Amino acid sequence: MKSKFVLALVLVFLAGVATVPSAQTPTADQIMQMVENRFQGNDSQVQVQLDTTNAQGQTRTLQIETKSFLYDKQNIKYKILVTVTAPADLKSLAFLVWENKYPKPDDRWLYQPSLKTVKKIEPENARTSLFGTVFNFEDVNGRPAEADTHKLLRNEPIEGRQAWVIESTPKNPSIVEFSRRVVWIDQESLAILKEELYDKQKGDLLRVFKLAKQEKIDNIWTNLIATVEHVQTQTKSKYTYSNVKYNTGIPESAFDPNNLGK
Amino acid sequence: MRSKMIRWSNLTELSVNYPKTVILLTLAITAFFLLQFPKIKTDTDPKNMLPATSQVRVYNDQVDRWFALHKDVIVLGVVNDQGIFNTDTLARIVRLTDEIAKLQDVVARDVNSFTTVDNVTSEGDLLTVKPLMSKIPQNPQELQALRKALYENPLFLERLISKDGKTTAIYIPLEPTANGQEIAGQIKQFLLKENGPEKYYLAGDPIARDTFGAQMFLQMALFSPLAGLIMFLALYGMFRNLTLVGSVMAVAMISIVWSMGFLIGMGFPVHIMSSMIPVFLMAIATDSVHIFNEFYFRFRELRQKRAAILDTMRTVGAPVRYTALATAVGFATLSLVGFVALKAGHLIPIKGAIEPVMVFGLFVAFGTLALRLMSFSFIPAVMMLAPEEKLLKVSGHEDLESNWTVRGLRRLGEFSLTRSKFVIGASLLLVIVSIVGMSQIRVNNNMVSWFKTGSEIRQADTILNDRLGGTASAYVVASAEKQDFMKQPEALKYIDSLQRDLEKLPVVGKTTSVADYAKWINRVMNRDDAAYYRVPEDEPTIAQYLLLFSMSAKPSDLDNVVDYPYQKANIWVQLKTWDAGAMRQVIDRVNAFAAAHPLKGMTFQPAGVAYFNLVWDDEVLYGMLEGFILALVFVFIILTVNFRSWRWAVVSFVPLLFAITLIYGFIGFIKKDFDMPIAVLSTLSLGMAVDFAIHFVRRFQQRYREDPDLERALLWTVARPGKGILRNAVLFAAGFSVMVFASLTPYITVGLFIMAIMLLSALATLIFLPALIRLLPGWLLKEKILVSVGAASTTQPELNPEKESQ
Repeated sequence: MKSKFVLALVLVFLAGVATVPSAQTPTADQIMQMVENRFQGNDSQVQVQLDTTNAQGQTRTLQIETKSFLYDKQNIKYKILVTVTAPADLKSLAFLVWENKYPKPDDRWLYQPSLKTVKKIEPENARTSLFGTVFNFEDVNGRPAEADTHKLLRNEPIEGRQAWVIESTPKNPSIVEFSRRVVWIDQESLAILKEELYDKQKGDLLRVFKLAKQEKIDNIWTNLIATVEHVQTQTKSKYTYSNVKYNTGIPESAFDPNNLGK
Repeated sequence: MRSKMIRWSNLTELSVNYPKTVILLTLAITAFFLLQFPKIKTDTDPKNMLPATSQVRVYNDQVDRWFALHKDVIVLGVVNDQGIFNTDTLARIVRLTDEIAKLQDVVARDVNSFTTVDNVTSEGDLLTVKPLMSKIPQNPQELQALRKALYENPLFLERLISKDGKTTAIYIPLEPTANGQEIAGQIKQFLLKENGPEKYYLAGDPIARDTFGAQMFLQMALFSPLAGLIMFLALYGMFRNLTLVGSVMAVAMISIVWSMGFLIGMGFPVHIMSSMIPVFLMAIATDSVHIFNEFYFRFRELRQKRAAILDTMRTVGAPVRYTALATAVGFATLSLVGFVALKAGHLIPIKGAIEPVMVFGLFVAFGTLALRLMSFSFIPAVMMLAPEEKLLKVSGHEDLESNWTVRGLRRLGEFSLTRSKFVIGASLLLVIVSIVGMSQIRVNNNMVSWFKTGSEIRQADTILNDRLGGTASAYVVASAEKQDFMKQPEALKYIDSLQRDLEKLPVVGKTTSVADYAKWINRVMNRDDAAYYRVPEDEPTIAQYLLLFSMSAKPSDLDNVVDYPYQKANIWVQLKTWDAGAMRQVIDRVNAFAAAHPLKGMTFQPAGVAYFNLVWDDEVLYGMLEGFILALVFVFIILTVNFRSWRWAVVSFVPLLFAITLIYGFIGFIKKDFDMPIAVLSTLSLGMAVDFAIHFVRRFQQRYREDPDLERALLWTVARPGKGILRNAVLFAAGFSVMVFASLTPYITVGLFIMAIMLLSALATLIFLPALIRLLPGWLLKEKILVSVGAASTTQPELNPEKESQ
């Protein structure tokens, strides 16, 4: 019941945002905060296919299952469990993430099935590759708004959707791979429709993310297909969501590191 | 044959009658070719000696794509004798890495140093994935932690840190279009700003290659005119007449302008090979010395310029024609190298010809024909314009009795005639000794050793090879029949033991493969227990570890060693020398290992820069050698036609073979590698040594027909045309002696080699030939020469034979 209430609140809020006249446009920081706090259900379960294609057109495919649980309703923070389901030799390899409020970094654990061990991972940043794809964890979990300073560049339509265009620069550039990023935020769904990353060395375009398909499922705007291309190496990754289910009542205990692999 | 000869003498007559018109016409044609020069395109990359479509280049490109590799990588070594683990040195490395990554044409994302690599480590059940050095360590604890991280990880040792902790390196991959020398120059600007105790060393194939290419052009531009100047002075010392000396130089320049202009006009780039055309043509142009040599004798006897010119051309015409023809055919044949290389079926036959060698051969041949044309037109025309009284004065020295050179030559001739058996015996002994030396020849090429020992590039290479894993890079690509094979424990274990086996070779430094990554993660996942630094025992574990590795490092790190379908793995082999032979050792070792430990479903294939250099060597070097041998065959045929006797052709070949055998023998004894410059220069002997013999034999035959006294005719030949031969040899040796001062070792080789070829073949012609002809008169002279000379005499009546005889 409570979850429905939160959902309704957010929707009302979103509706309000979408119709505000330009004079009352939220600031860049507010927008990014809304993006970070985007509600994705009390819990969810989804099958994801990850395809990565290199410059020669060879493809590696990974099937994963993602479960999430909203454990910090005030800050909209989730516990997320990502488990590989295919190929067979990687089956059951799992990552568990507990999102934390910035600046506290997320907690991460790895479950390694052949040793049947759980390892706590201490990465210096969350921008390492997600399963060897061009995506990183932040592409899926979102990047903390407070990690960057933001500037609203303009409003413009993109792919038939009205978007805010925001330029962000990292506050601590030494732990990220980019010097600048430009995002197109869907004013209705608050999804990132497009993202351009520029490298630190020469400011050249590094990576382009595009949301190819989003849909309202159970009244929640859900990303379904997205692509990302490393422009310089011409490696591309694509995720495709299927069987999206919200609020099925997954117990929080499924997200306990001690229960990983069980 | 006959009508053609008449045409040539007609040309001479025409030139003598209308000298100014002929000179103007020549200059007009020259101007036309000169106008082509602004279109010049240069290509200083030795790599392009093999076409982009050659099998090795196509294969290497393919391997680069399979494993997302960069073709060209520069290594910047940073050495601090106090050790690099101090805040200042590390700050410099950070600064330099940042600056270098910002350079145009540097592949910023893959620049590797302390500051850009990630490291995955573990402490208990905590797995840490982070940059090796995200900030500069400020205190002893942090410095110690960095030191520990570096030494602990075998992937870093001897790559990012030397065993003694005094050397590190920044690996700088370049875009395919980049010029290594230019980037090295920009990096040096950054280094100048750093004023710490560190020493910096820049190494890597792109620097050596591009620096060599650029320097080669510079040295050509510097030493060709210098050689020309010295030859000019030497010529003036011989003929004391500016007009005549000027005309020899002019003819050389004109032929260079013609052939280079033609080459540029046809749209060929001036490659390192074709940049040597001027030097070769200058050498071939000195052949006109024989014309002046004879002219001075004739002019002194006839005291009438026009008659002397026509007489000279009639006498010297035949040898000049045939030397030019032999040279042109020789070089044109050289251009067939590519086809020969294709047929010879080496390890790796390439499709198509070696274009730069073809271009070189064809345009030298063209220049030679231009020289020949001018010998019959431009030179007589210039001689017509030379003031007669001056000529009279200087030609007064040209007397077979009074001139000291002539007297010396005559004595030399007497010696070889009276001691014929000794001369032949001594020469044979020399040849036998040389053949022993030749058997010691080592065919090898090493571009870095083309720079002098003390040079920056050579030093950098030595020091970095001494301290780190090796600057020369090669790949051994393992290919499986099935996908996912490279995740099998037996595949990785096999690769691992192959690596250990390769590392036993002294020329091999460090090797890196997907097995090393699997081993490292195995250790990390097992609480950093060193006992687990081995290939995991089952396929899922390997697959999972490699996935974890790809999440803890740059994705390219894994891509560099295994392809997407896990069907191909790449073993990166760092070699401690650029010797082509080192790569050959690696290939042999891999083959031997594969033969001793057969594994079904996996094969190995070499690739990479070091492998390219090896193929380049085999193709270009052996190709050149085969072309040279083929050219010798063609020249032999020409000589046989010329003398209408294969026996005389054999005799004419003797000085060339003698000179080459002696030089090769010497090279074998001093253990100098038989490399590219020597192969190129061997071809020059086509243009020179045979020429001397043709002049000698041809003039001897003429003389002998006029005065059938063997000894007298031989002595005359040694003294009179012999003086021309000696002049030609000394002239050229003098000109090229300046090359000894060049900064690239191939040029020093060029200088010494040319001097040796010229002097040895001249001496062989003047000492050995008379002795040989004297000892074999029955074989050479009986009726055969009389028949052949008789035939020749109908086409070339010798004027005033009685005046010529002493």
